Amino acid sequence: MPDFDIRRYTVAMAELLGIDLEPDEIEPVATQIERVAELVDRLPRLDDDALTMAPRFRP
Amino acid sequence: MTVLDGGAGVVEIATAVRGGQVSALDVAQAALHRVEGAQTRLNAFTTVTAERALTAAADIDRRVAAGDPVGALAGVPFAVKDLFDLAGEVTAAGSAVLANRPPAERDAAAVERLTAADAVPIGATTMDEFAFGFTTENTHYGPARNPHDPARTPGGSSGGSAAAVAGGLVPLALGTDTNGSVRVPASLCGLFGLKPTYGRLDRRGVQLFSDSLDHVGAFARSARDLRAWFSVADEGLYGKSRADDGKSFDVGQLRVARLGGWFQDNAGEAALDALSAVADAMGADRTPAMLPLAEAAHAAASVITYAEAGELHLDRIRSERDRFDPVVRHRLVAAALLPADWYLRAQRLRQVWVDQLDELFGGYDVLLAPATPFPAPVIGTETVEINGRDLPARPAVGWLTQPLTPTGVPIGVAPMMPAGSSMPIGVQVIAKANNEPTVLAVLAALEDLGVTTCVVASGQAEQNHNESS
Repeated sequence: MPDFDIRRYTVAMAELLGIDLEPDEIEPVATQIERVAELVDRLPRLDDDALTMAPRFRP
Repeated sequence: MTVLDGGAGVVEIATAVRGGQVSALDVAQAALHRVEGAQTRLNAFTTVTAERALTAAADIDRRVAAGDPVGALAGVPFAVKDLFDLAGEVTAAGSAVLANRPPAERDAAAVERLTAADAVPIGATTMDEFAFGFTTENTHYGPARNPHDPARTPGGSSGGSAAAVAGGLVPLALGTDTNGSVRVPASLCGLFGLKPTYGRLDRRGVQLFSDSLDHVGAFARSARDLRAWFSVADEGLYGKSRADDGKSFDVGQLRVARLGGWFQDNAGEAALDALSAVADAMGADRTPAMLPLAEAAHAAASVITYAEAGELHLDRIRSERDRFDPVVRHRLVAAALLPADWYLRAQRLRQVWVDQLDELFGGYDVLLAPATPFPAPVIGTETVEINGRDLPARPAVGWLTQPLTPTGVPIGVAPMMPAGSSMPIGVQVIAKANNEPTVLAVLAALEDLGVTTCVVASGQAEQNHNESS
């Protein structure tokens, strides 16, 4: 799980992006973010410097 | 059976219309009659384009009578998921938010390919709002229902399109596949489905969901019909279609493997039985091929989907959030808030995953995997037990398709009917990028061998039962 408080993050990010969350929306939205965080935990850390998201042209 | 019955296929109808044995107008009227008659039972359509269909059909008949040229799919009625633009109709993408926007001025490119071949658009079909789901449970329009058992889901998000083909309303329907939205409904409705290579088909006029994963695809009731669609759909962007490359395909020479690990650990008995039947028929290796990053790829596909969907809908999330389907609303708000590094980690994993699949394709031409872990669950089902574990039914139905989408390779679905069951399930046929002819040739071979089973679920048996009880 991420090293930040997901509920505080939810409120702060929503405010920054101009999404006016109602109080009863915070928990379900934060729960969804937690579910995505669990998926991110399954992504291995890739330390290969050659990794890139830019196009790779093979001979 | 005649070509006016719901069981008639794409090639059969086009041949009869082109040859003047049946009028396109009669075919269109029969399809419209079936659509109207099945709407209460299946809720497959959100829009019916009757006037357009009848006008187009009459024009085809006029040209046939005059001896003028008509297209390869003359008179074939087809439906499109409600995220393909149909000129003059509102593309709502299963939402209320888009339901009041102006009608589309032009058909989507995928629709234009079909109408240029004189296929006849019958209407738009029910879907999960903005394609964000696997079960076509839509609060605004109601759930689409599985023709094999209307209490069950047809899968999603192209569920209405699949229900329309499986129910014998039309022989062909377009869908889109982001995480499995063609392959899952094809599996649960017992249809042939194809998700071509990413970028192979023009997406102009398609309401996107997750840009780097969205594919245009289609459903049909035979491999021959699916190939007829692809040969028309694939023309244009790159010149002549590659569908015809497979005319003299020697399927027996293909090196075939079944995928193990994630793809079998999360599959139930019916899915594994179907996989075995297809693998045996294709002479696949007895030892499963392994893709160790499959679980991570499933996670990556989910994260990418969330992030891209959130970015796409950010303005609407700010201003019209209360008009979203409650099922989808919180997912999209969360999606818009995700940290960028999560998305980047997922995209980097994707590249390594593509390399891993490429490496496996060094030893094989075709890979096989179940398309869904289980046959169609009853609508509203929360969990399904697989191998002693309770899986969350709605997301888990896409667990076997989802990891493969980020690779962009072409994947077909072969429909199977498990022994003693009335509910179908599909097997994915996976080939290298731009090898659609391989996929189509394998589907055709399985059909010729009698391994696959695709039956029209017209509801007649159910109606007879209801009338007699």
